[in-house]
Amino acid sequence: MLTCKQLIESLADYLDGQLPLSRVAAFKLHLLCCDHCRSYLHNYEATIVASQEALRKEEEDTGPIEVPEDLIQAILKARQEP
Amino acid sequence: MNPPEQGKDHASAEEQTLIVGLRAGEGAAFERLVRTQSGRMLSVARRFLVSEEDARDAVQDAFLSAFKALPTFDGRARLSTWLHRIVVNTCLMKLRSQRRHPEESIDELLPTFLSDGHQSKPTPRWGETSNEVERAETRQIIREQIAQLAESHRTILLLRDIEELDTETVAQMLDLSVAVVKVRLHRARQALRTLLDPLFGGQPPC
Repeated sequence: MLTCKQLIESLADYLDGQLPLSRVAAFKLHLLCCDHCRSYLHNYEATIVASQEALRKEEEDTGPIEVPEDLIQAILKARQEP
Repeated sequence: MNPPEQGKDHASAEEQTLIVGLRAGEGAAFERLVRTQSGRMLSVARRFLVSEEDARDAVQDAFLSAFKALPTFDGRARLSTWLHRIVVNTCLMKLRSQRRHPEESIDELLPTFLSDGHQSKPTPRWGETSNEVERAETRQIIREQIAQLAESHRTILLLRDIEELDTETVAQMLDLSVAVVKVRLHRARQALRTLLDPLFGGQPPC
C-alpha cells in the first residue's frame, strides 16, 4: 500500500499518464481509502486549471497593456542602427 | 505554447499586407508591428522577469531578434504567435545570463508528513473553484500568487502549465535534466496550491 507521501510525490506523473502501470493500481487503491489524498489531488488539479485560466484571461482583465512610448521609440530606433 | 489567438493560425489579408511591408523594410509597417504587439509581449515578459527594466529589455531584444529573423518567417504561424515564442525565448536567455540570487526556500509551502508517510495535517477539500475563477478579482489574486513563487520554480510552472511545453523541451530550454524539471514543476504546483488555500478555502474532506 502506498503512503500519502508516496502518492503525493507521484501526482504529477499520474496526471501526465507517466506513472508506471504497476503503480497505478496502488495509487488508485490509496485514493479510494484516503480522504486527505483525494482532497489533495482535487486541489492540485484545481490549482493547475486556475493558474491557466488566470493567465489566459489576463488581457481581458487588465485591458490592453500600455507600453511606454519611450520603449516603443527605443525599439524603432534600435532597428535603424547598424 | 499558449500563444495568443490559438486556432487562428492563418494570417489574415491585413496581416499579409503587414508582412509584405515588413519585408520591404517600410518604417510604418515596423511601427505598426511594434505598437500592436509590444503590449502582449511586455505582459509575457513581466511574468518571467520580476524587474520591469529586465522585462522591457527583453521586449526590445525580442523585437530586434524578430526583425533579424523576418526573412526566415514563413507565415505559417501568425505574427503574434511567432513573436510570443521569441519573447519567451528571450526571457529565458535573460534569466540564464543573470547571476543567480539565493532564493527563498519554498519548503514551508510543501505538505508535511508523519514518519509513517501519512499527511501530518488534513487537507481541506476546496469547493468548486470554476465559479470563483470566473471573477476577475480572483484571477488577479492568482496571478499575484504565481508571481510570488521563486523564479526557478515559477519559470518551470509557466513553461509547462501555461505555455504547455513538454517536459523534455523545457529541460532543453533551461539546460536542466528532465528529473529536475519534473521535481520543480511538482513543487511549484504544490507551493501555489498552498498559496491559493486562503482564496479557495477548505471544506471538510468528503
